[in-house]
Amino acid sequence: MVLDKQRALKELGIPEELYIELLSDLLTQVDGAIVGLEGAILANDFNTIIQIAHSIKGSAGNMRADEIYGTAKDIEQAAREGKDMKIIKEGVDKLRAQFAELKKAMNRG
Amino acid sequence: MSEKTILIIDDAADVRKILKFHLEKKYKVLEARDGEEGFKILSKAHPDLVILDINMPKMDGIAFYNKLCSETGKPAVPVIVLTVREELGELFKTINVDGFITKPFNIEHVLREINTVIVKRYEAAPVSGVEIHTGPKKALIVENDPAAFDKIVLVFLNAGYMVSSAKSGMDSIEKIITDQPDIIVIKLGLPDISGDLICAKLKQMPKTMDIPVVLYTPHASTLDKIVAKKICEMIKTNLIESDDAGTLLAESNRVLKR
Repeated sequence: MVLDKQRALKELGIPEELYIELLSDLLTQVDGAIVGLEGAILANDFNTIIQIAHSIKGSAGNMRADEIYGTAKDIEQAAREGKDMKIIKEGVDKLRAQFAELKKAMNRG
Repeated sequence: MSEKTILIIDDAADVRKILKFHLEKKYKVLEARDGEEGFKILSKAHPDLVILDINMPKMDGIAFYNKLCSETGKPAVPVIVLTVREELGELFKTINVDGFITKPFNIEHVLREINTVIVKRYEAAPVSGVEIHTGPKKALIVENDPAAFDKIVLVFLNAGYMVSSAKSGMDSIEKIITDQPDIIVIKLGLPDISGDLICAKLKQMPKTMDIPVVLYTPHASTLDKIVAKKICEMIKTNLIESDDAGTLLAESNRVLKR
């Protein structure tokens, strides 16, 4: 599931308006983060990849956007282990697709 | 009790917003985006509790913690650390704080953790000898040897305990922090972190300091036993030199006065 809104509302104990506000922040963050990740891949900059992926992982986890959380976690782990940039790039492609799904889910309400 | 002030130090705006939404109902809340900003606020506002993230730009949580400890060797103000599960074990070993919250968090756990620290640090101690929980006791069994583990678990289950289990020190730390047991039955010689070190750290955190522990070892070296016995003296428990399930059950019953 791209987004488990009901679980998020229950486990965070926040009103829906605040949840939507935080989710909008996440969308803005991921938009910029994907550009940042692409740049860091080109520059072979593992530290920046770790920082960006860690940040997305945190916010996606809070919002219970479980798929994005999992992918960001995998990207962070791969960068920490200094894995081949090809693997990290595949992760970023996956993240982009999941992000598009999240936007669709949000538009559906 | 006067209104307490809580300083949240986290670069993630969503975490600050969620915590602030809840904490403002009961506390005065201050926010900082990194350790550097946190220190500036800390020196002016003197908060009663700091909630500290670890991975932050500029000054990260560890640097903040070290600076906070620089004068007396321990934090001058109670600290609860926000961390991801993967980093919990390492942090537990290396820093002395009042509590840990793992992310992504459940707000109920967070509020309980904060409340425990505030109550233990600033309010009168609860009346001793009053047993509030009357249901089955929850025992956490920490043993890495599968055969010994199965025997101990079986004996505790048969004796009416609810049992949760951990097969390493790291695993046990996460279980203790997220799902507080009534008693911890823990082996001294675990492969990753020794049982006595875990016990000593638990006794320093308000949330876990009152949880009774039974520390045991079937065959430790003389040196390990000497160290463990010193720690046992410090935390007021016995070192049981056996992994016999019946002996551990008897000691647990004795400690819990069952």
